[in-house]
Amino acid sequence: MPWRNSVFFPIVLLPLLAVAGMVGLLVFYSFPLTPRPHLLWYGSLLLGVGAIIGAIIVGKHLRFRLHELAMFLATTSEREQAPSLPVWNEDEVGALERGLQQVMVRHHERLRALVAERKKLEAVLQSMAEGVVVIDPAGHVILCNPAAQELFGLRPSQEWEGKPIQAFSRHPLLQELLREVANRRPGDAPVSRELQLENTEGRYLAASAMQICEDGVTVSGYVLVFYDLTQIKRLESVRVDFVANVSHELRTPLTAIKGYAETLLNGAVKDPATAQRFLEIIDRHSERLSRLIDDLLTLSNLELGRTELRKEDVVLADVVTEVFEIMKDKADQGGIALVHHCSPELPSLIGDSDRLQQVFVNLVDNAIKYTPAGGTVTVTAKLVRSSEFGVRSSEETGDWIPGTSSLSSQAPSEGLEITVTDTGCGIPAEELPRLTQRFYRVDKARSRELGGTGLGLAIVKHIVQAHHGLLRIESQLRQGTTVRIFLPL
Amino acid sequence: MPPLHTDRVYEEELQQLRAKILEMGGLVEKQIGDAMTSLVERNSTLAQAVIARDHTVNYLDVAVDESCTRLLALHQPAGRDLRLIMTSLKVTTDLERVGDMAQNICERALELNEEPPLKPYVDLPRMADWARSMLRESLDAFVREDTELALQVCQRDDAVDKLTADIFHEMLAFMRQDPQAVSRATRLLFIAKYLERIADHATNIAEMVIYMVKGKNIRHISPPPASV
Repeated sequence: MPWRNSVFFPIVLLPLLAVAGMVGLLVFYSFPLTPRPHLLWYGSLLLGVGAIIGAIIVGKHLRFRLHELAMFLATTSEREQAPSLPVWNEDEVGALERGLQQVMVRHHERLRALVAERKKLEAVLQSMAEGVVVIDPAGHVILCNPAAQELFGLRPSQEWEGKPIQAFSRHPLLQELLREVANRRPGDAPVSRELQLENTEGRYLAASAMQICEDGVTVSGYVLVFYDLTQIKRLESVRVDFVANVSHELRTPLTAIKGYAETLLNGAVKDPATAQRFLEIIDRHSERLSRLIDDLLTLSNLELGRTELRKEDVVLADVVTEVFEIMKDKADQGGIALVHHCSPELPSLIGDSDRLQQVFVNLVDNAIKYTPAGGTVTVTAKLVRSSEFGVRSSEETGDWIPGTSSLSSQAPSEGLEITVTDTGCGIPAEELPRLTQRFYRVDKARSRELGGTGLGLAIVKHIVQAHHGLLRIESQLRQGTTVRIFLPL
Repeated sequence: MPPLHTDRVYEEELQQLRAKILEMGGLVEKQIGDAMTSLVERNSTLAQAVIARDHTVNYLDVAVDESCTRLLALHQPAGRDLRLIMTSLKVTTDLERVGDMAQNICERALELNEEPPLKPYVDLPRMADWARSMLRESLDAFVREDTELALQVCQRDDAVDKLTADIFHEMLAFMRQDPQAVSRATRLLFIAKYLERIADHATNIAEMVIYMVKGKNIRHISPPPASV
């Protein structure tokens, strides 16, 4: 730094000059010189006074700059952006001012980058489907994302930070997982466990835990990641159940056929009366077997989308009348009245009349089976808009099985609402969502006794879906069941 | 190594105590769940597993007791900390008893599995869900120091008592109809009683949580106050 730019120059030189002036004046008065050199007297005085005034000005200026610097430091950390600090002079204080300014600008840049990074991280955490919980080594929650709160069924409004992890779940396997990960060395692979939560929803979670370790030695916490396996588990169980059910359903008639055939072979064939009876039994069971296989094939074709619907105008009243004719014998045997309120004036549907007939055969057949003698099975139809059908769904508690997921979002279209109501034994509310599953039976023994295959409602659901319709089942125990179908025109 | 600051050791020990209680709670919740599954699904293996696991609950009970004694003796706690320790001492006893109830349910389930089922279980699982959710919520209230939740648990106890009475009458009817059913119906009645006791213990825990957080005793007040 050049000499003249240094703050040292005025600070040291000005007092020196003032001292020199004073010394000059002292010399002037100490030695009685003749003639008195006036130049020295005035010169010294001027020098002294000038130096003092100069020192005061320089001092004030320095004080002002230092004050500015202090203010800058005090305010800058609170602001978003570093305020600019004027550099008055290229001296040492000037260098300080410049340096501080640079530091602050850099500091703010870094801060902004950090905030942006944090926001990015937060956005990732917020939008993740997996639940993430970060805990400190003592087990207190440092961070958790909304997905985690949802998985554990927690109220989102509450502050979870600082609470022990046990506030989320006290599942013994989770405790075990935490203990195990605590015993791992930093850098080891994450530990995982599958657990079913004990709360009402009973979700299946895959939990994995890993250490957070910045320097490779000290563990500063653990990251827990939870995946929701509920859906996968459910699908798995549906598949397993299906295979088990099919085998079981096929085996039952087959065992009977095989048993009676063997008895016949072992000599019973010689007794005509017995042989006749056994053959009838075999016939009945092979009937059942073929019905079962027919249903299975229908269902599998419907599910694979192989069945082509014949598109034709269908008058609903005709279909229902025909169905009633088919079911009449069965209804009479059970002492059940069949009633229908389907005006032939209703607009006709576009659909496959054979398939629709199958829907109503299945539904009316079910209704007859579960209604005691003296009961009534009623079929009604009326014109509604799909939106009206939809609005009611939110108010009532039954289970909706939407035929097409897009239908509800479309503009309301007109359609027919058809209800099949019985005065039978009803279905417990908790069974309603599973009714349309293949082979699902509310009362297993009874349904089989009545000759059901357990596939009827599954077929109904698929046919209604193929017609872009909606299906809904409502029931009151001991009051009866109502199946509602919405079919668009 | 220099000795740690006393307060920090103290703080850590309190944390560990809390964690032990919660671990025990989690285990007991699962024990009840498994016990009911073993009953409903007639799974004797599971029932035996639950019975075998009871000693872990007992071990934790002793561990909590020891922690409490240690804390009391070494740190002479006061105020909130003292209330936490007092609560822990009582809650651990409740939890240990609930663990025993789960074990008892399994013993009855093993006996019931020897005989044909009397009827499908409808009310018992519902009652078990109710009791379990009360226990879960009381422990949630403990860990979150949520007095409102604790109060809700106290207020729910009556419903369980009512369910017990319903089951009692139902079983009585079974026994009147068929003397063969007496031994099974009695066992089911026992189970109903165990579940009712579990709900009572959950209520005790909830009451202690209110004591722990607010320093207010609402025990033996019926009906429970509407707010604290």
